[in-house]
Amino acid sequence: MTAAKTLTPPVAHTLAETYDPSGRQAGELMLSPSMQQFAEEAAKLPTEEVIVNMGPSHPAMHGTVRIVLRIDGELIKDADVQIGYLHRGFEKECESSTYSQIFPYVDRLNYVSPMLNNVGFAMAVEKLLGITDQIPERAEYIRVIAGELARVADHLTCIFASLSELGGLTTFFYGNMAREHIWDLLEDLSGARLTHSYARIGGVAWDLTDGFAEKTRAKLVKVRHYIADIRKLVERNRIFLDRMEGVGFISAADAISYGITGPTLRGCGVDYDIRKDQPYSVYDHFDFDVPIADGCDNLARYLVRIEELEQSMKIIEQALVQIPPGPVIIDDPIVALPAKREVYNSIEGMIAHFKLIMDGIQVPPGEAYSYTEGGNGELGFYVVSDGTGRPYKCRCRPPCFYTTSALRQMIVGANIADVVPIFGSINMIGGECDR
Amino acid sequence: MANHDSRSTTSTIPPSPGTVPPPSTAPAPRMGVDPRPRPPEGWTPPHAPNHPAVPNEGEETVSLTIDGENVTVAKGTNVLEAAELMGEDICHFCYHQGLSIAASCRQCLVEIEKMGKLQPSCQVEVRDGMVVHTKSAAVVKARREMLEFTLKNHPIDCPICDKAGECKLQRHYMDHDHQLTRVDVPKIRKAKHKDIGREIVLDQERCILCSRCIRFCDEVPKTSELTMTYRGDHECLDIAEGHRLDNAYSVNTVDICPVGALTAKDFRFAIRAWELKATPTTCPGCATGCAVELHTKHEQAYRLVPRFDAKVNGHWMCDEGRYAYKELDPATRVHHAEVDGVPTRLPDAIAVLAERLSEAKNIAVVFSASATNEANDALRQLTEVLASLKGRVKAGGNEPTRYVLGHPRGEGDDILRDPDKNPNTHGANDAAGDVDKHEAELALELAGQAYDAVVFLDDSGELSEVALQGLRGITSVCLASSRTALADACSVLLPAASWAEILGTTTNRQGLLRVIQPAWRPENDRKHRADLLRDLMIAMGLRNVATAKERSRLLAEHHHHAELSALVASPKPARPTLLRWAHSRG
Repeated sequence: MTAAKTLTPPVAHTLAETYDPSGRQAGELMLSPSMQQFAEEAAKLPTEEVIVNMGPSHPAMHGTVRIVLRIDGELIKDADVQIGYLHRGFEKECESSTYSQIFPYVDRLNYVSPMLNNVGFAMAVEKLLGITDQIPERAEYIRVIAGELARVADHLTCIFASLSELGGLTTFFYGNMAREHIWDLLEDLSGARLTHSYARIGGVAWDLTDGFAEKTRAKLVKVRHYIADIRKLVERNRIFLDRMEGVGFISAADAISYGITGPTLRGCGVDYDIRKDQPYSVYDHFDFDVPIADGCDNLARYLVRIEELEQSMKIIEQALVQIPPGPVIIDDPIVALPAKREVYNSIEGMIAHFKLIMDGIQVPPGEAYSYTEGGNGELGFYVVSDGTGRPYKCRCRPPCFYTTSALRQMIVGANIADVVPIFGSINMIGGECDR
Repeated sequence: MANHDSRSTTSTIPPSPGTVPPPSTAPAPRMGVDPRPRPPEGWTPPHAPNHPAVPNEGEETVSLTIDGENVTVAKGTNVLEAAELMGEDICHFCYHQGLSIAASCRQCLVEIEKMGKLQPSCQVEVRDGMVVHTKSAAVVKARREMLEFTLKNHPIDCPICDKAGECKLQRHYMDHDHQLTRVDVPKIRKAKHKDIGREIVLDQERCILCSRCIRFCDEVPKTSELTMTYRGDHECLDIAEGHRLDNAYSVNTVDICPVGALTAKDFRFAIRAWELKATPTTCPGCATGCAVELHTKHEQAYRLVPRFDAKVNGHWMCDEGRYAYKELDPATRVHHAEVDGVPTRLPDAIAVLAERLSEAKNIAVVFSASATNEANDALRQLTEVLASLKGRVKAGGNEPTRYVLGHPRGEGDDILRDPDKNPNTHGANDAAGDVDKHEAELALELAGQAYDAVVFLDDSGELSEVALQGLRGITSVCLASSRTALADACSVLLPAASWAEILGTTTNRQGLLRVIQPAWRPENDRKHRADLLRDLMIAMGLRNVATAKERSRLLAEHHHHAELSALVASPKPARPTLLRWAHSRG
């Protein structure tokens, strides 16, 4: 395992021990003497606590969440984070769909990185079928390439969306342009820009398109340019640093006890990445680092994400070189659909196709949990089979749910204006959190 | 109901005019209900020739080893049944528990130690100390080779085949074969969609020559219309020269056909099998009360198929009974109460009715041989309530007169069909107290304006036009689930749930309690007849009237009926199973 790379934030960070949750740190606000006097007098004035609703319909409450704030002036005394506005009954829906029919549903969990969800779900079912080690290597490589492209899109979205909410609209356009290149690649691969449904149980739907490697390399160069531009724009920007640094604090111990994973946990200085610590698929074939930052705040989460973009692109480039030729789906007629030539011209192929579509893949009774590194942390699928073609129970462990549970702790004591960057930095995705 | 001519022909092949069943030689149908239908003298349920593996109490048993596990089974059973008892699914096509053994498909071959060749497990009787292997390499190879052989000439019909989804060939391919084809010569062509009978269409290409249907016709209705013709590759199933498959049990051949060679005209291209939900229930077609499954989708019924019941119908049911589902037609359902032709809220209608009945002097109550025991029992209670209602008695109201109505008699035979076409004549007579007053008597009285109120428990009675005219001027109430002539003639309609929507019981000709289960929830205001009458009695000022479920519980206790007790006790209603996941068929 490669040594984890620790990033130091460009400005001295706030230490956990000295953090005063009741307000900003001393010395942080540089007020003029007259303003200082005004503030002191204002502090003596009697104030009244007010209840303010943020969301569910609020431009910065992406994913439709509602936060009921109890505020005293600008200061947040208490917050009630209410999720569930995007609840679609994903888990219940799964119980009446064949395993293959569930892929379109998982696309809509974390809808900024559907490829990662596809792979995570496929792995759970493959575990139940006991075919995890029979997946063709080429399919595993394609899954890694598609998954890492999705991760780049996911992190970019998180970064440019929260930067635009801080007023940096230029970064929004740069980030969007970069993501557009990623989406072009994913569209090239799967035919869809957002809801790919590209993975299959036992592999992936079809092989890489012609010239995919060259296209990807060319696109990644452009993406790197955009990322560099974004970094140049914000990382030495006073407004950005003031809004990000020391805001949205959560200690490493708290983050662990909340069950937080992914960039938010790595932003607390905890070196944990499932790709590295519990390598699945072919992740152990690549040389990449797990960036961590120990600021425990918005800035640390930003730094982790921006560095992970580079690491993901590194993985993609290695995978494009290493990818072996061969089939892209398991050669097992009771799992993978037969070729169309067989379906239309032989009764054997017809029956196999027919039964796999109508009755679904017959998964032996049992239960399995797959855990993969999703865009926001550990994305888990717990599947129970009763031996039929559909899951008896399918539970998704969405990484956002755990991060969102800690949101209250992060915003209490901050100012109203901090809610938006804090919420943006944890990248809560409603489709995944509410399922 | 159960009228062959009323079926909708979704099939491309209309029933040909020459295939109408011959006119009955039975005496002209008499209106009215047989007071107590009984099975014919010496009747026994259809015999299943193959001994089941589960030993009856006190029966001789043998012990053998199957796949390394010891198993004790009844003496006289075969290896296939014994293995199935252990959960080993030995794939087979030609074997059927209710038919003689042909061992023609060679699909159930197993290895038995000290026997030189692989043996068809359906034909080998279990012996003490036998050692059987059902998964050895030789068995698996033989199984795959037989399947490949069977599939060689099978047409690529799954997308247009009615059996697809409940086809044994499909299932066995997925479970045991799963190899791609090695054949590159054209398939042998035979006749497609050949009209061979009143109910049945034959596709000779799909037939895998298991001979189940031939044996069925030979052994159950004993009419022997089917046979094999030609030999080798060209062997095909056909009707015997000069015959058509027109026996009264012909659709059973469709059920037992492992593939889609025989399809029912009524079900052809109606719906895909895996979309259906199956509800175990009882056929309401006649006094036999065969155990059946009702197959439904979205509050609409598509077919009835037999369910095994050793005490009543064995594996089979008659063709006539299969059409009983036609009376569940959604187009004729009564959804809301009506008073004098005006749609009314159910509580209002019941209040009006309670008032009118309390004021009526001469009342007739009409029990129904096609309604459940619970409904008939509730009507018995209502009769007693009306007889003793204080206000009514004071005003000179008489005790209500009891009648029993039902469907007219039809054809019967010694296999399953009973001439009494009502499912619950026993129950109706029990509740009415064995009155000998039926359609004719009621029609006369109604025509003579003898009553100022009449309560029909069911919409199924067939009354003369004059009698129906007589209903218009008086308080006539019908607990109707569908719009029949009788329901239309009545002044008050209460929306009753049909037999596909309720939990209830009937009593068949053997005196056995038969359970009816709901396939879907009653729509709109529709309610169990017993619950409608309960509402009515409560509106008349009564307290503590039993619900339909409580009446069922009492019946279950009285008959020691475990299945019904469980159904009544369960807080959640039993839910129909979707055939797509159940794999109960094919």
